Amino acid sequence: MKKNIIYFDNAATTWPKLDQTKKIVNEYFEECYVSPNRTNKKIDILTSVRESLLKYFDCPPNFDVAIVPSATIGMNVVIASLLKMKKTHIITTNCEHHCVYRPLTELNAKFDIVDYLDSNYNEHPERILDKVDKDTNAIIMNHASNVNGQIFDIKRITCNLKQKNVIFVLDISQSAGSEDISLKKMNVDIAVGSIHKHLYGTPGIGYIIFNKNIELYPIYFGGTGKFSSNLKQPDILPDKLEAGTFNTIGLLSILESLKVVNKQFRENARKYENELVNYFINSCEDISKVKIYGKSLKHRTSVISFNVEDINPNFVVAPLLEKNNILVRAGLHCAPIIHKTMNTYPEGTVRISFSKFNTKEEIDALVKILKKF
Amino acid sequence: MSIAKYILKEATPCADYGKLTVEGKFEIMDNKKFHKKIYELIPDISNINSGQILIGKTNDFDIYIYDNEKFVMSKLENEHKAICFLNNLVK
Repeated sequence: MKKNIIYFDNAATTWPKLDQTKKIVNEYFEECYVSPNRTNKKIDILTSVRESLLKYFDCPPNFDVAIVPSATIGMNVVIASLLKMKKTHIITTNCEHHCVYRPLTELNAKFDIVDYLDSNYNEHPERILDKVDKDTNAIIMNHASNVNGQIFDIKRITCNLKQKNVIFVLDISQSAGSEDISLKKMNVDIAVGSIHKHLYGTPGIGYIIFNKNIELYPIYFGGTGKFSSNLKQPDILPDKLEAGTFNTIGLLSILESLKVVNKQFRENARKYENELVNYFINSCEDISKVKIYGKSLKHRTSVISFNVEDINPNFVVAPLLEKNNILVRAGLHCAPIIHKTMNTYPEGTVRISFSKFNTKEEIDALVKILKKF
Repeated sequence: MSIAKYILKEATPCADYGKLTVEGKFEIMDNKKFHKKIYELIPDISNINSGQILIGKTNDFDIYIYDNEKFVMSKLENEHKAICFLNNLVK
């Protein structure tokens, strides 16, 4: 039931969720789903989730998964681990989220930011490799931007990376459940993501999918339900990254989502969401005050950023839409650097993002309001 | 007697205005006087959607008033500037 809300913030978290997700979450309150690795009743949700994620993202055989509370925490773990290695220089792009910039900054990392909106990189993504030097340990980048929806051609970067001995870390928060992701084919060493966006799971679960040859270190410590005689954190992956009680509701929801959001589902949803993107762009054609950023992007998600000329996105456009029950996100979207490149800093943009549950009628309602400016 | 009361707190918008942003609520006792006063104090004022949102711009701040109830003041040097303006507006 969608109620009387037009929800266009699916890049933050999708809503509504799938019926199957709702069903399993309700079941949690009826059935005795115990805490993984704790109670004597063995329900191995964790193993099922790990196996499902590895299969879903088509991982090579030497990969494993750590379950963490969010993609941001996952990225913190990864960055802190990278900085413990011999080489510590990191390359990233101007299209990243604060889950990359803030840990790099707080941990005093040596890092370079490549302008990926520049046509030089846009047309030749592999040129990021020119920035690799003898101290470079890793490249960290988004699969898809959470600001303008651009999807990056990862294979063109990673195909020449192996001989350079550089770890490739991919943030799949925006593309998981939307794009067909094969970490094997993409030559990705570590992928970090969440389940509550286009995988339609509940918030509060992130994952680090990693090549077991790469050493990852915990950033928080505590009970893992195993090796309890040891006061030190057990030195076993992925357990050592998973201190604390698991979000069992989230684990159940992702098990269901991974079954439902299969290749066919993704294909249909992608096709439909692309239709909605084009419909919105075409509907705004004759509204001269509306500027859409990246409207000519060929390979994109359903995320669109726009502004209304001379009108503040945070304090005018978003509140006016809210009054009309249209929910969007305005501002910098935790990704300030891409806004500097797009010349939308410091006010940012209004961001809309569609899911399979949105309709053209809902877009008409939004466009009708934009025409009033 | 004042024409309105207000409460004020610091806001944290998802954008960087480099300066302070505050938000708050008005409880307006005299709507007519309140509007007259605001247009007196801020010559550069515009309205969106038949007055649903009033936008005022000054050298010291921008103010947005929603449905004569909620407000946001951005680009402030400090909270004192907001308080001076608001006290003047409601008295």
